[in-house]
Amino acid sequence: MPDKSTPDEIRARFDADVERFSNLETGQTATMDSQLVLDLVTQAAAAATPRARRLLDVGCGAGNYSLKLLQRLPGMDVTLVDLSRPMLDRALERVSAATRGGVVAVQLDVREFDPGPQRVDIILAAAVLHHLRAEAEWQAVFARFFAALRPGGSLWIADLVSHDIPAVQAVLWARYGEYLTAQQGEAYRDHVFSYVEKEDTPRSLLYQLDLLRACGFTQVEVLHKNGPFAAFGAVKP
Amino acid sequence: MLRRLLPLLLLASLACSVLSPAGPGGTLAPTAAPTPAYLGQFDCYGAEGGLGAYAGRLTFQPGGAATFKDYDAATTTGAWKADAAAGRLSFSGSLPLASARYAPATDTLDVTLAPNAALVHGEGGRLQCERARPGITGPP
Repeated sequence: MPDKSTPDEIRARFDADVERFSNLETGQTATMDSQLVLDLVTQAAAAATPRARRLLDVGCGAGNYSLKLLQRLPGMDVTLVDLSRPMLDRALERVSAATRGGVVAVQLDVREFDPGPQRVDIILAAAVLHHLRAEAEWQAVFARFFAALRPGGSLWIADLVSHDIPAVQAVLWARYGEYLTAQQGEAYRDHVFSYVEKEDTPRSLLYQLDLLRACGFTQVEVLHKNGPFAAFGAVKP
Repeated sequence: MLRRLLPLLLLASLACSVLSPAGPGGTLAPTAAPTPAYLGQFDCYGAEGGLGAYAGRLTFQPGGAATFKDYDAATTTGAWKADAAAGRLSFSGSLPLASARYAPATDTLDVTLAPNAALVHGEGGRLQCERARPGITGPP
């Protein structure tokens, strides 16, 4: 994939875009149903792992998912991981103020991040995995997530996804374009489409569900799917 | 000021229970704060023939694991822990590193190499490490 952005190019874009990712009320407007998904993911995580003490937020951005989950499960220790230091700065400030637990920030590419075995109870990965490229990267990251969870812990993903049937991909991508145009006009749509084309290599929802099972998750669930966006999760036996 | 210090204090207090592989026997006074304020990656520079040169990238993981990818891109693995008594970080495993002192104000590390470590650009047994900024710091 020679034309895709490097991690450094991705980091630079997010470094300059902290404000857009810092609104807990509106969510991320380039993502369809972002507010609903934020609610669904955090509600499902809290319900599936109600006694969670340690949260890992991978690709935390400005910390919206952690903040929302802390409203449901207060007091957790939180590990924040992001490629962008300005994003981490904002997330660390906001999340530290929202929990009496400890907060650790890790500035690292998700592909190089290894939390170690059975360290956390809940993992959130929102709008980050679509930056993974080769098959081996997807497999390695999912396997590390599985290993990092304690038994009974849960993993929740909200992300851009692709579709295996090209005609379906075209239909859903067109609908996404209509959504973006309705949000802020055609120039905004073209801007979003250009950085998606440059940066992102999403995999299909079904691919990721299969990969979750292959890694050892036995309970896998879809929370939401609209256009090229999906939210789903799994519980470690 | 307190707001700025709070994350550091939290990190220091967490080091035993969350970050350090030392287990329940480990202790770390909050004021010692040798733990990097942000875990992640540092690019390290040593010397050869008296001239400064890139030596490798050090990665701290929150579970206590550490890796060092040297100038030739060979990776060694091991563990790190915060040593409060000595006011430093220490390394174990196959890493060519012995210990480090972390300077929160500059987000840098002063690293001492392990005895007999054969590291390219490791002349003098010391490395100076700064927060990795891919594309800016790192291998030439």
